[in-house]
Amino acid sequence: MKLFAILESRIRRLRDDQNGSVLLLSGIMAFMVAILGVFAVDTGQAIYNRIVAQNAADAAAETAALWQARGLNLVQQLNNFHYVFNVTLFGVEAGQLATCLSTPQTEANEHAACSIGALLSGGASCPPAIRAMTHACRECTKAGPNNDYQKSVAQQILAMQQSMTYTFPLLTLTYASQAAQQSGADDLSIVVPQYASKIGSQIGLSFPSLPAVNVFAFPINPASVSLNVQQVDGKYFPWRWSLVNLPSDDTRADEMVAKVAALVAWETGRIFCSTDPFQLGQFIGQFGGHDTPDDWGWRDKYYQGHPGYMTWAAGKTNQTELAGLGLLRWVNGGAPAAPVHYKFMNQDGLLMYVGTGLDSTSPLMVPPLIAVASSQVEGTGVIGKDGSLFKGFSSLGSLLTGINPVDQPPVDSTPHLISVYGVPFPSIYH
Amino acid sequence: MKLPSATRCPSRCRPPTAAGAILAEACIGLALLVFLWILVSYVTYMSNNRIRTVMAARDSAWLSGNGQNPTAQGSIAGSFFSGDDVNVAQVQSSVRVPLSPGNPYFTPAVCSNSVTFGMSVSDLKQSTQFPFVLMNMQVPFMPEAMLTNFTSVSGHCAWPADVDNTLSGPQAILLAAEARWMGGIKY
Repeated sequence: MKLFAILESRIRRLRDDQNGSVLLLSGIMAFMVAILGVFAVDTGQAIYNRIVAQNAADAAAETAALWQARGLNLVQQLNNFHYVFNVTLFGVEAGQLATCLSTPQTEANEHAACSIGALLSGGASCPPAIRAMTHACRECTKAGPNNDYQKSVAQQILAMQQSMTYTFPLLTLTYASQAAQQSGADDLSIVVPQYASKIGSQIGLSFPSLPAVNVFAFPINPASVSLNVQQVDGKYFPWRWSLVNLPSDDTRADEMVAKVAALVAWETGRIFCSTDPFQLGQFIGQFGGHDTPDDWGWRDKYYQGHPGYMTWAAGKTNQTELAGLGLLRWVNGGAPAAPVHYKFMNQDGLLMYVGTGLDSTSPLMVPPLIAVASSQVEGTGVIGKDGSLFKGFSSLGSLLTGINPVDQPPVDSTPHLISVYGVPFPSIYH
Repeated sequence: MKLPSATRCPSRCRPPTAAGAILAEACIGLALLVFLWILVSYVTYMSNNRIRTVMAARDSAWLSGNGQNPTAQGSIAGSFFSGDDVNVAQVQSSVRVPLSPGNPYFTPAVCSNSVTFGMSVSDLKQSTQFPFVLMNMQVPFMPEAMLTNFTSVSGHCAWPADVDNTLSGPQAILLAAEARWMGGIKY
């Protein structure tokens, strides 16, 4: 009882004693200020990481588009080289055929006494007809080997272009990832699992565990890194005489003239060479092992197409932020990012910012510390200027802007980067 | 003899109170709060500028990638408060070649830029720039090296050198041949 009284007395005295109250209040205030300060700094850290992630995604997207542009320009360069080579060789072969066909056939059998030595030394002692016949034989037999030479070069060029369709996507993936790494992104194999459940709940998918490889940025649609070019047949000058899959409304009398000229030259050469005592045509070998005129002309297959847009993702791990700030949506700029539509060449309303993957009209709800950015390669599509002129592409969609590659001499498409879109924050970038 | 209380304390004399103690505590408490306020203000200031450094680094890297030379006075200061180019300590740009396909014509350069805001500890001694002049003091038991994180912040960004995305004919052939080799296509 007495103890209780003493305790009560002390409590009463303590209650009435104001000594130290300010210090206590100051301590509480200091604690609250410190907490607010920590939250301020912590929020700054989250925003910092958010911007780093966005920078990394932007750098990856830009790098990827850059390498796509380079790949397309290279394909275009080879198309140009191929075209110029074809035109040049066509001129040479046309001259040969003209020489061949202009030889007077009436003198075909006047080849009696003339030695090969005299003929090769200038043929001064040989009858003019003999010289003409021999000349015709030699000229008429050049078309076959020339055609083989042209075909070989064309195949080499096409093979190079084909290899580019494999190589440049790999270069794109590699360099984009490295750009993201150097911009401060974290390894996606660590970042993604932190947010996989959050993303998966949006689109109803569960992500498998990623292999432990160092990938710092990756396209949401891996197929988008493709150059998206395809091999197509040339259509106009110079001709490929054996081309059979021509559109029904395509009238090319000049091709028929050339083909008939080739056949005449072929037969003329055969006649001249068969009566040639020195068998120069047989020596050159036109009539043994080379293509017939039906296969002459120009294997003018070209690569044509245009890439689509790409959306790349990069991120930072949520490791330093307190209270899960890295998971708060407002760090991401508040409202979800709206889809960005872009008019590109013959494509209207191109969606630069992907949807959920299931619904292309809704924005992708990405966690704040994962950033996405889209990029596009701008410029004239590879050997393309008007898709409506090339009927073979109707089933390939509007991404391709194909025309006949040699409707006019192809020019450098010079694709370049046009934009990098990301989520609205930070708006200063966009 | 014990003097009456009236003798010891005149009628105007106030009874003893805690006024002095409150004043002393207020001085201590307010000083603590002011110190915290300054510290939090400074830290948030630097934290804010740290965010801005990474944004400035992005602009800097973009400029470098496009063949320009970013400088604090010319282009980077706009990322900070009031175009604060005085306190932008460094705009550094380097070109990295992370992986070269071996073609001298086609260098996959990446411009790696960093922007540092603030000043080094050694420069702090002579600093007259606000608010760094406030940091010009020796904190007891605190080595100078620890001040580094308080006096400067930096951000970093990389950007591809995207000036060159076209090739001349011979260059194209060279790279095409290399691409063919890399692709391992047999024909």
